[in-house]
This record gives sequence, C-alpha cells and structure tokens, in this order.
Amino acid sequence: MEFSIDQAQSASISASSMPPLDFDQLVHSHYASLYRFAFSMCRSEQLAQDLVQQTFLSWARKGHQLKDSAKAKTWLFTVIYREWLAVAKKESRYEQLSDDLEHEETAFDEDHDMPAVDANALHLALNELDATFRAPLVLFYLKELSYKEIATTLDVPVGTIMSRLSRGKNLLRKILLKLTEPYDA
Amino acid sequence: MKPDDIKAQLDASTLRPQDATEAARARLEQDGSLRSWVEDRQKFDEKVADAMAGIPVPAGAQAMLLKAVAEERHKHKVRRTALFMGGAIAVSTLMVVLGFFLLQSNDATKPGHWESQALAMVKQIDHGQMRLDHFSGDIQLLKDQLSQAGAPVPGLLPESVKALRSLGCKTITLAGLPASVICFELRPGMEAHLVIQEYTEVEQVDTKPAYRQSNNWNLAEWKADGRRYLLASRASTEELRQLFALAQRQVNNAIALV
Repeated sequence: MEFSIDQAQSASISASSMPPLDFDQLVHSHYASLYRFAFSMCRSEQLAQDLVQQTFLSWARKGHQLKDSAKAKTWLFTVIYREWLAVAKKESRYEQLSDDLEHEETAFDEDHDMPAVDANALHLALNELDATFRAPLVLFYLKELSYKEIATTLDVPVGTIMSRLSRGKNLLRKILLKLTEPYDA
Repeated sequence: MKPDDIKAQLDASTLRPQDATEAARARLEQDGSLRSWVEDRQKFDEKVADAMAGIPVPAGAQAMLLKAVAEERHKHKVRRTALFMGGAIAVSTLMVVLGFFLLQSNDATKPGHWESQALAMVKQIDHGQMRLDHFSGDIQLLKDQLSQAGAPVPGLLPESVKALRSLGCKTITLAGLPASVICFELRPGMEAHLVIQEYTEVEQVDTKPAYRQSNNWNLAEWKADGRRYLLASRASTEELRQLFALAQRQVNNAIALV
C-alpha cells in the first residue's frame, strides 16, 4: 500500500533539532511493539511480520520526509495500522465500526474482580473484541503512545479514544474473567 | 472539566500518568474514592500490559527485516543509478541533437543567415557602434594587418575595388569563425564595406555576384578563391553592378589562367 504523509502526519512534520534517526536503531526500538500490535490486529504471525516489514520499508522510502524525528513512533504505528486496515478490507475481515459504539457514552465499570492474565489468555480475549476496541486497547497496553497519540494514530477524536479505552477495558476484563473462571462441570 | 471527563482521562493514563492533565491529577489527589478506582484500574492495566509484553516476537525477524530493507535500498540505489545514467544519456543525446540543429541553424554556409550576420556587423561599423582596428588609405597595409591578426584577407580583389580608397579594417567573428571587414570609400560620402571569410564548403563556387537588397542596404555577395565576400553599401544596386562588371571579368580571367 502506498502511504502518503497526509494531514495526520503533516502536523508532525515540523522543524526539529532532533538528530536524524538511525534505521537499525529504529527497527531495534520499535520492532517488537509494532509486531505485537500487528499480531493482535491480524492474528497471524506471518501477516504480522509482513505488515511490520512493509511499515519499515515505507519508512526507508519516505521516513526522511518526517522532519521531527520525535514523531517517528507515531508515524510507524499510523502506517502499520493503515497497512492492516488495507489488508483487512481486502480479506473482508475488517469489522465495520458500529454507530451504536461510536455514540455510546463512556461507562465506568465498578467490577473489582481481578482476572488472571497471561499472553495466551490476552490473545484469546483480544480476539473476542471488536477491532474498534482492540486497536486502541493494544496501543494502550503497549505503553508506547499517549492516548492523544493513539487518537492521532487511529485518526479518531481524543474523546472517542478515551471512551473506547474505558469501555474496551471493561469488556476485556469481563472476557478475561470468563476465560479464566474455573471450569464448572 | 466534568468529573466523567477527568475519570476518562485518568483511565486513559493509568499506564502513563504523566499524560493526564494537571487538573486531572490534582483531582486525583483530592478525591479518595477516585484514587481508589484509578488504582484498581491501574492494577488491572499493568497486568494486561505485562501479558502484552509477553507476546512472543519471532526470533530472527528483525534480522530478516534489516536484510530485506538493505536489499530494497540496494535495488533502489541501482535503479536510481540506472535512472541517472539513462537520464544522463538522454540529456546528452538531446544536447547533441539540439547542438546539431543549432549548428545547422547557425551554419555560416547558409547564405541568408551568414549574410544577415555580416550585414549586422557592417551596420554596427557604419553606425559607429563598432570601431575599426586599423585606419589606412593603403589597402596593402590593411591586408598585412589582417594577415598578422590571422584574419582572412581578400585574395584576388577586383581592380575596380582595389582602386577604391580604403578607410580601415577590422577583424570580426561570424558564426564562430574569423572574418574581416575592409571599409572603402565608394565615392565621397558613400562607403562600401567588404566582409571576407574563409569558405571551405565543397560546392560549386559562385563567382558571379548575387545582388540583394536589405532595407536601405544594397548587397553583393560572391565566392572566389576559397573565400566568401559580401560588399554592403547604401549606394544603389546599379552602382554596385557597375563596380563588379569589371571585377567579374577579372575573376573569370584569373580562373581561366589557373
């Protein structure tokens, strides 16, 4: 997919005194997070690797256009998200956003039960979540981006992202509790 | 800021508390129940974040990626070099073609073009915009000066022309080649300017003057003894014809002797 630095990126393109980024260092710093995000979204190891590779190739070709190297991380996550969207649309596996989800008020859960969670359980739980919640949640739990940067990456308003994070966490907790509750014969 | 907005912001910043606004953090300090709620959310979020960090990343994937990117860059470099070389060749070819056409268009052998260039020089001399190099009434002295300057000198100059009183000479360049101008006094108050240039084109030598008119100038152009001549004057064409009637006979005689 051809990626053009658009409005979302243009805000990031500004004069900066940051030194130019070393490509190998960039890969070393962000490969794992990008892979985990891609894997959580596409649920395929091979496709996740391809998406990460495509993202870094995009950087190799166009990254120099980004003058503010501090925005490199957001740039990479934005590109990989769009790469995934393109692939998902092609494969008709992209869950369309529901208007009901978009306009629903933020609901704060008072559930204090703490489910056990490991990588495997998390992977299973995320699979049950709609992509609308999965994308911001994964970015949130990767701890790489602020909620504002997550909003920029996913190209949605900050308020919407906060709402999705809150509701997504509630749903995730419930799914995890369900997944880890003792099997009752 | 509404309480729900603060709660949402704090909830979105549990793993990066520094991302919450100061107002939200201040409220957290003041509100015990809010702090308790956030702490619970934070505990859950940290567990999930730890699990997220445990998602395995395929071994060697980074190395494969770096290799792929290096190959891509190499291909790009090769493509760019090829493109550059192709571009350079295309530009060179274009320049050669353009140069050819330019030379063609500037070809001194083209009568009209050479004639107009020569006449332009004559006009500058006539208008005093271009000063002669040497002034002398002795044609032989002027020929010597031109010869020393490496400029073409008239070969077999018609006696009728030689009989004219010379005024001076100048070396000029026409179509990139040296040329000479000798100015004569055709009659009192009427000048004639003779432009001479080496002529190497292999074609039939047109020893017979061709007469043309250009604005107020009358021109006589001919080729002889490896040179091209243009005599330009404000005198009438008839006056020039009379001058060259004798000259033509002399040239013909000279060719017959050879």
